[in-house]
Amino acid sequence: MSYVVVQFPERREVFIDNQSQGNNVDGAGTPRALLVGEGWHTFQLGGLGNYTPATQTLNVPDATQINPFPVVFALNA
Amino acid sequence: MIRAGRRRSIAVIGLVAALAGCAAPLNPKLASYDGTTGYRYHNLAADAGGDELFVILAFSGGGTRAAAFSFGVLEGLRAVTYTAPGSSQRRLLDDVDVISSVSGGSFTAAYYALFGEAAFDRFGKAFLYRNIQGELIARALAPWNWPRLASPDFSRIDLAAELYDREVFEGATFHALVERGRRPYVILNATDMTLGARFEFTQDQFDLLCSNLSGVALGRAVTASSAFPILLSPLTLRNYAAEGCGYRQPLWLTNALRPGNPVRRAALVRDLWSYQEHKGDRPFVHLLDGGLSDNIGLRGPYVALSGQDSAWSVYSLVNAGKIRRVLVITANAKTGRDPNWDERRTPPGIVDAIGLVTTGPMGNYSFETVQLIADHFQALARDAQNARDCGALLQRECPNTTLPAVPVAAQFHAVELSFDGVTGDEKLRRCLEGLATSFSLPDAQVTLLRQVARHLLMGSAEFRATMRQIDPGWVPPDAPIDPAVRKEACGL
Repeated sequence: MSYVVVQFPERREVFIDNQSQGNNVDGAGTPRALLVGEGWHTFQLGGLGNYTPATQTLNVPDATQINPFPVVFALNA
Repeated sequence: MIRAGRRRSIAVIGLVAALAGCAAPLNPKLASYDGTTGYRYHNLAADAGGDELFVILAFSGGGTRAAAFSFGVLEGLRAVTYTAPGSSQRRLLDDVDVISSVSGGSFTAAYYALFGEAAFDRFGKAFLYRNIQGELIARALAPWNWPRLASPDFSRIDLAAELYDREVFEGATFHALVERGRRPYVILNATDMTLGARFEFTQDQFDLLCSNLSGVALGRAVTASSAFPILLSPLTLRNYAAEGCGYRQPLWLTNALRPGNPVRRAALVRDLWSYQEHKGDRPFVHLLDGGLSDNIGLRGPYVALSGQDSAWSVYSLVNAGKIRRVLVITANAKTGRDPNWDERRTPPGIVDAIGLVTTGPMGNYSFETVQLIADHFQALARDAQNARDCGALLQRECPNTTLPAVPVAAQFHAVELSFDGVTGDEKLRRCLEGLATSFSLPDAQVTLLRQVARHLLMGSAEFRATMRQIDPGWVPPDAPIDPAVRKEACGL
């Protein structure tokens, strides 16, 4: 059991291992903690492909809701 | 004339044996892999009320005792109504999304999945109040079955499968469940003899065998789930993986196979992948009673409840906002040990010893599995509470600072129903714990088990608390145990 927060400047749908997890932020634009099993997972965003990296496969460590593991995507210039 | 008659008899026997040997494979080959079709969670629609309350049932093994007990739980859920958000009245039974079952509990689960509401009128006559065990023995002793039993391609398990298939499940295959298209998603669990691991009858599992579950008879799956060792021979499936079907790994499987994953995740996925990895060495898969790997039916749900490594990952459903509350109800029809063993100098006999060897480890493992779910839910609740406390503290001490993320809002509840819960009536509890593991019980015992299940459900403190969180005005319906039934069933 672990938690991640997907950091991206826009509101986007998050996919973990090709399964939709809802959006990275809530209605107020605050990042959401997402439940995830520990270990290797592939993260990507929905919508426009104007971000990098296109996918990230990361080994998610044990993390809490207070301090979730960050998964960072950047908006293309 | 006599010689001609004998020759005819021998020819008939030979023909029957040959026909038995030419029986069609139990599980057909999958023409081409398609990860979206077939018997999968996502192909079954939820009730109109949606997923907000996600109910998972787990039905244990234990022959007719378990089937009747789990059926009583379904009857109890059918009687539970509550006011859902938005003020609509709902039956809790309609919120059941998944049933995971083993052995005796698989009869109830599969029958309800197939017949839905009609099961409440028909299951008693079709199975619970029937001497299934006697019918099995009669079939095994019938001379016309001997040639078939002599064939290497036919054994005792096939006789059982024929009976369940024709007489209980009316020849239905998993295709009927796909056609029905409605939840609950029923997961019938057996045990892979080679791996000693759980084997579930879902298309996601059959994909690995390049086999089409839609062509498999429900009765056969239930037979595999309840193939108690020694009494019944294993049920054999074909693994067509070596012939290929264009199978593609789901991404979670690819990631779970990477080195460096947690040990439990790695072990689970290693077993799953073995059907493809060792396809050349494993053209067949031999299945026994699901109770050997998980006698409570909770291991599959645990995988879905603790990560993304499942076609119905609860984590993903929670993250996506589709689920706000998860309720897991376990119907555990475990029996007890003879409490009088230690009163006697002479040790328990061979029957007692065999009983302990065959069921003792299952019982211990079931206890650990129930605890695993309970501990997991506690950890989730503790994490959520810590986040709320930390947020409140920040609000008070550092008003300009916030937590890095909004906490997960879902709530998780676990309810275990077992004869241990009969606390106010020691004689009744001991009677229930002493009921036989058999596919034939006296009618009064079957009725008693159904009543006890409803009684335990309505009396469960965890269940009542959960229902009152959902609907503060909820009142449990009456679920009495009829003293006359108690007396007839237990002689008390």
